[in-house]
Amino acid sequence: MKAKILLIEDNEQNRYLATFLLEQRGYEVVPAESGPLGIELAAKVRPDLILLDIQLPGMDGHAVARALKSDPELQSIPIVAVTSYAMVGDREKVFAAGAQGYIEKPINPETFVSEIETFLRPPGTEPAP
Amino acid sequence: MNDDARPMYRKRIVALILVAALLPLAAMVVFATVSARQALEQEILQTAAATARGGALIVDEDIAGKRELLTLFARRRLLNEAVARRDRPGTEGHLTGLAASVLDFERAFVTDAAGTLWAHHPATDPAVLGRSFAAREWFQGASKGRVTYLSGTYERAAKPVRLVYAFAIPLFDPERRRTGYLVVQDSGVRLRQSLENLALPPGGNAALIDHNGRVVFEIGPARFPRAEDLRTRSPCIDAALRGQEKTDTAKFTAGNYIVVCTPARQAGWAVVTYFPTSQLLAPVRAIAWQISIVGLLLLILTGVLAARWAATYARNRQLLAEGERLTRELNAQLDERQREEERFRTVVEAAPNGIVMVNEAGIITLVNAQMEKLFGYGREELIGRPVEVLVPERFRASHPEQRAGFVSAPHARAMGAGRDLFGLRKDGREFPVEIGLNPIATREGPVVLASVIDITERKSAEEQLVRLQRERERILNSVDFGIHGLDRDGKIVFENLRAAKMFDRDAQEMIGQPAHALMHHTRAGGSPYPQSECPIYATLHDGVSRRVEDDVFWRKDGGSFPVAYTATPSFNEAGDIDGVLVSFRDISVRKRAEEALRKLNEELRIATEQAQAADRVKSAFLATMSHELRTPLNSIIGFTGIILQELAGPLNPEQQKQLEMVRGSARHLLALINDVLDISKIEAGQLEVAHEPFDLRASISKVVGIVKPLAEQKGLALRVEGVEGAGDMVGDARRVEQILLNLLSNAVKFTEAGTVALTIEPVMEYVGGAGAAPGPAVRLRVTDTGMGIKPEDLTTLFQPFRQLDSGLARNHEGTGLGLAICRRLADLMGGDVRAESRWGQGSSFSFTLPLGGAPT
Repeated sequence: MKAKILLIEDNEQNRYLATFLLEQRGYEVVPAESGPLGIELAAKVRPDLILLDIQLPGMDGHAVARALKSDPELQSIPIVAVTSYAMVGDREKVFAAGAQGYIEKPINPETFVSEIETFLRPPGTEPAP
Repeated sequence: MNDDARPMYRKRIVALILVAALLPLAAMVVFATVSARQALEQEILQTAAATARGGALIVDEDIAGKRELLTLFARRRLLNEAVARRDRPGTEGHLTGLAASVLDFERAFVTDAAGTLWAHHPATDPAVLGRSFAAREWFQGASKGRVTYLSGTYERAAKPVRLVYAFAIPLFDPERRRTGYLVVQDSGVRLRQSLENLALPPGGNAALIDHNGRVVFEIGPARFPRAEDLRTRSPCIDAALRGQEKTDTAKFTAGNYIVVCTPARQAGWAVVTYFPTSQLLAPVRAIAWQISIVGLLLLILTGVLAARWAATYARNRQLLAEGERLTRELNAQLDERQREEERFRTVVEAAPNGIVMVNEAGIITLVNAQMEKLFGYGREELIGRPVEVLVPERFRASHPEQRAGFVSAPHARAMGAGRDLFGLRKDGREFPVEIGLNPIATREGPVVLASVIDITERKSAEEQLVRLQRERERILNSVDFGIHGLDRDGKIVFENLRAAKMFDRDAQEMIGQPAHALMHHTRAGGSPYPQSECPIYATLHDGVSRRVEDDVFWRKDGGSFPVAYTATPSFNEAGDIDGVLVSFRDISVRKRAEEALRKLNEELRIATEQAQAADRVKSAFLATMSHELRTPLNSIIGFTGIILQELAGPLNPEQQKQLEMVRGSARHLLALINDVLDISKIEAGQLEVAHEPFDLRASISKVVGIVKPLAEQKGLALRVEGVEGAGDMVGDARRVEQILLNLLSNAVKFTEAGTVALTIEPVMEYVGGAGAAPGPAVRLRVTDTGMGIKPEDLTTLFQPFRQLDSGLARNHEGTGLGLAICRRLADLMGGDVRAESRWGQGSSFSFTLPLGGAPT
């Protein structure tokens, strides 16, 4: 069975684009329009991976990542940040907040899914220590 | 010593005489009892004779003296001339002197040769003038001889009638003719007094008898009838008048007397002493007692006489001693005077001033050594010459007159009264002098002692001083800042013109005024400025120089001006502070400039703040814009990609071609946004580069992998040389790749045919930015065979957006920001990017990076 991916993204077009690419490859995508909703859904659906936009209205991506990583139930779920923030230090900030991966926008539709898959645990394996 | 010895000596003499007199007295008393009467008589006679002889002696001396005096007067030439001229006042002048010369002379007069009186003194009775006295005995006597004739007693003409006698002497003219007679009328008062001093035994009398036998005067209780011719009484008077001493007994109206007559031979008169015989007729014992008493009296008399004689003798000795003492003192005084003179000469000689003594006639009488030195003369050349020899020619004429003026009103003073004085040396040179004059009275008359000082040096020192003062004034007034000097009390001592002008005051008016109260009384803010807080006064107290950059001084009109000043202490020879020198500058201009500068700085600060604020806004705007622009691009590029992958369905070739154009434009737009974002961050200093180890070889192959398909598309050869020289280094791998990609992409973009080559070469001693230490580096050189770059474009090649302006941009895709970003990124990593080109032949871009990364 294909993995479940939580997509936290406020822009409707980008949410659709990512969802389209992932579903094309057979993934189940759970979309969330805001940080708080994303955290709530993460606890509810227990996704295998979380794609997190950093530039979110209200609670930003860094805060969402810290909140997710501070929850013992959810901290093992890998987070990949997808951001148009491409400045020096942005990457470090994202990693510091708890994300495991970093993909710069605009995404490349040809390589996007394969990039994400490197962060997905093979099904049935335990999270890395 | 004499005073002590004298009385003793005197007593001894008196005692000796008394003892000597006592022996005959004792014998006499013994013999008196034997032959009382004769002895007594004899004694009395002897005593009387002795007294009479003493009296005669006195009379002789008196008469002889008066005769002599008259003779001397009669020989006076002036008197004789006056008499010859019958000059009564002149003659009476002489008579006055004659009458005054002896107390007894109560009257003097002159008669003509016939005895007529024509001049007299005192002129109390004018009636006698013209009267003839030819009948007088004195005229009779004098007319017969040539010497002084003494007349007998006669009653004088003037009232009251009194017995007088006269001396008369004939006067002669030069031809020995008798011109008249000089006569003095003698009262005999003094002579009588002298005779009264004679000691007479009790009851004894004495009388002076003139040559006519008439009594001149008597002494004692008994009296002869006045003017009686006593010759009738006793023949012994006649004998005495003839020159024989004679003793007699005579019967007078009062009884019987023993009479002793003694001649006064000079006068031709006689002195008669006489005693009543009744005293001799007493009993023998009584007579003996009387004799004893008389003897004792004699003894006493002898003692008194002896004492008197001794006293006289002692007095003579005393006078002698006194004389000796006076002589000694006189000698001592003379010695002292000599020594004083010696001392005076020594002092004068040693005096530092030239000293010259000049007598009343202007003749030099003394000079000292300094005088010789000053004037170049030896003293023997000066003494005896007029003092004018020392005076320059042009002053010589007036000098004697000035000298006379000084002698007429002499007092010690400076010579010249304000004129400049000069001395003339022997060699003819003149020199300025100062002369003090001192009048001195000497036995030889008034002299002037002049003290001369050579003031040549002093003069020149004074001139030097004046010159220095003028110099000082000139300097003080030439400087461009105010200067004033204060004394220890802070009072102004001097003020230069510049200072006075600043204060709008007269420099002279400020002298002596307290500086603080005058021009420093109030602070810039208007509050009072206590003197105790004034730095100038502090310097006056502690001697430490002070500099004040910003203060105000006050003008006369109450206005102030800003100053910077220094207070410098001045010290006297002892090292004590004796004042302070204040130099100050009006800093109005500077203050205005400072104020203007301050305003400018403030404006600049505000402008800078505004610019920085604007920059922050711009950065925030760019960050936002880049996000906002990329978000829609994300979906454009994403969906275009999905469609081109035909995930959404199959495409025909035309759709495929057009969608690829859409994707190309979207990518260009994205590159443009990224470049603008980068250049903005770099310009704002916000772009940071990583400083971590990476493998350059990997980065090169990655970039070459990207560019290679593009080169192949254009049919260009892409050659990489020396890649084995690349290895591990420190820096920002993404940025290094960005630069390399840019350079290679450009080369491919601008080259239509030929080769694009990448050469990697090591650099040993690379010096990156200024101040960086030399170190190993790597150089990546991208060479193409494109059209090249014009020289004029080479200089602007690395400036942002240049390509947009060049017109070239229209033909070639690109933001025009690539090279600008490359150069700035290379800078950030401690390296550089350079371009070389030949127009039409190709370009070469080299990118050098230190292996150790940018210096931190």
